[in-house]
Amino acid sequence: MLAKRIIPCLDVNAGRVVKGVNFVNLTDAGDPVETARFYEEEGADEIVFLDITASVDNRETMMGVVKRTAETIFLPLTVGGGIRTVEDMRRILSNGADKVSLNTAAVRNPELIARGAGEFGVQCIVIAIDAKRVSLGDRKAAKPGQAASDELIREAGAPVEYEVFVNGGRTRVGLDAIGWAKYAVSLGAGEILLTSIDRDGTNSGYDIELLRKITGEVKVPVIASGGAGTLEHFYDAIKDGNADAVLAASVFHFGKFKIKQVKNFLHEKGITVRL
Amino acid sequence: MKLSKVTVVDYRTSNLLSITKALESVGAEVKLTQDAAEIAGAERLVLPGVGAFGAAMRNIDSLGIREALVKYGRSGRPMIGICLGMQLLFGVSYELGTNSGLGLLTGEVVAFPEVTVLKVPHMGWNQVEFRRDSRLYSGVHDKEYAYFVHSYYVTTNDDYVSGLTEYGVTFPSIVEDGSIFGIQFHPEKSQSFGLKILENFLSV
Repeated sequence: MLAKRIIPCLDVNAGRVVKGVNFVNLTDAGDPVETARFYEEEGADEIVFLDITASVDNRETMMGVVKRTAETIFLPLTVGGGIRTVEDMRRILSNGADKVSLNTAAVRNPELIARGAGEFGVQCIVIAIDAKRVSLGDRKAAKPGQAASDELIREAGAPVEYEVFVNGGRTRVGLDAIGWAKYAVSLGAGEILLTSIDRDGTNSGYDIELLRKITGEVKVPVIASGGAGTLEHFYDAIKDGNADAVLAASVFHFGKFKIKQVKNFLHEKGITVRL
Repeated sequence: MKLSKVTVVDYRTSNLLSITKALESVGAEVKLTQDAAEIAGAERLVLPGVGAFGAAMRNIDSLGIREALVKYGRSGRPMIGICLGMQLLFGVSYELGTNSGLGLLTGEVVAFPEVTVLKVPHMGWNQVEFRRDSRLYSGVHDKEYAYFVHSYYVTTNDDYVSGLTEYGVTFPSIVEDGSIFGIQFHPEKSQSFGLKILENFLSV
């Protein structure tokens, strides 16, 4: 049976892991390659690198990081952050990544999804959606210039309950998260990486309702992200949210849980994992 | 350690970095090639692959290496097809139309049935159940997990099937016929299990 995946996410800036990684038994906790290798040994099913770099020079550094990682670990590697063109995707994939994760650029230019999928296959294209619950009173239109195009809103819908934010969660675009997920999949997204902005960094659990809404609507794998704080949270995302994979950063980086520990917990609860 | 010479066919569709590094890590000296003569002279051949079947065969034809691959496959020297590379060993695929493959093994490449509630592509870690003994299985256990990414699978003669995987349907994840092997998963992304399979291929 297909196993549920446990995925550590590493934010990388200027060739270093940021957001604090705090391990014992790791000579250099800031080196992405070494950190990825550490997680491989711990039983991670996949590694996600998020390039949070702003400058062009650092993008070059990131290519080196991707390449060295792909040469060192024999696990699937997804790279996201700052990918704007098919050429960007090609460079990352040719340096050894297996998948690219698109966020802001896909909202700005949904055709990028179709072009990437056509060129590299749907299995390479992950759409990262940062979603935030909006209340009725709070449903202001996105500011002009930041909004998703009228065409995209026609296709994917205006926000109903969960709204898409871009630029690292800073910019709202007036787009419904569920509609956007469906539309992205129709264009060729092979996987959805779904982050709850409300839960991210809170350790209060994944947003199960958001997960259920998206997993109920798309027929591609959905990775739950944002909010993991207890072992039960991982279980809930899989069992109640129907997530195919669970992603976390801080609980792994700070050593609150070992990946093996999460897997053992899930296994005891009857979830299929790769032990 | 004596290095085992392996020729990896580069027909311009896939990223070859990971498979090259994985082979090197288990003791191979890797040569990438797009050349018919080099394929003909190979000691051990790897046909990797990511992407669509038809596009891959078109690239193989535009490089003029189809005949060399077929001849090599019939030479009795070891050959392994990985993921799409495994599918290319067969006669015909129904991915995006009907396309003919290398025809080294008898069988067809078909889509996962849409009636199942399972998601396609079949992506992630799934178990490989041994169907019979294989030279690829030295030092690995039955029902270990391997990393799969594919939307189509092979249906073939039971005699070829060494490993099976279940995903809505039960499909061949490892096939072999004499010195020709095919594996549907990605050994280069399957940690120690995958590396051991590759290492075993080097001593076939």
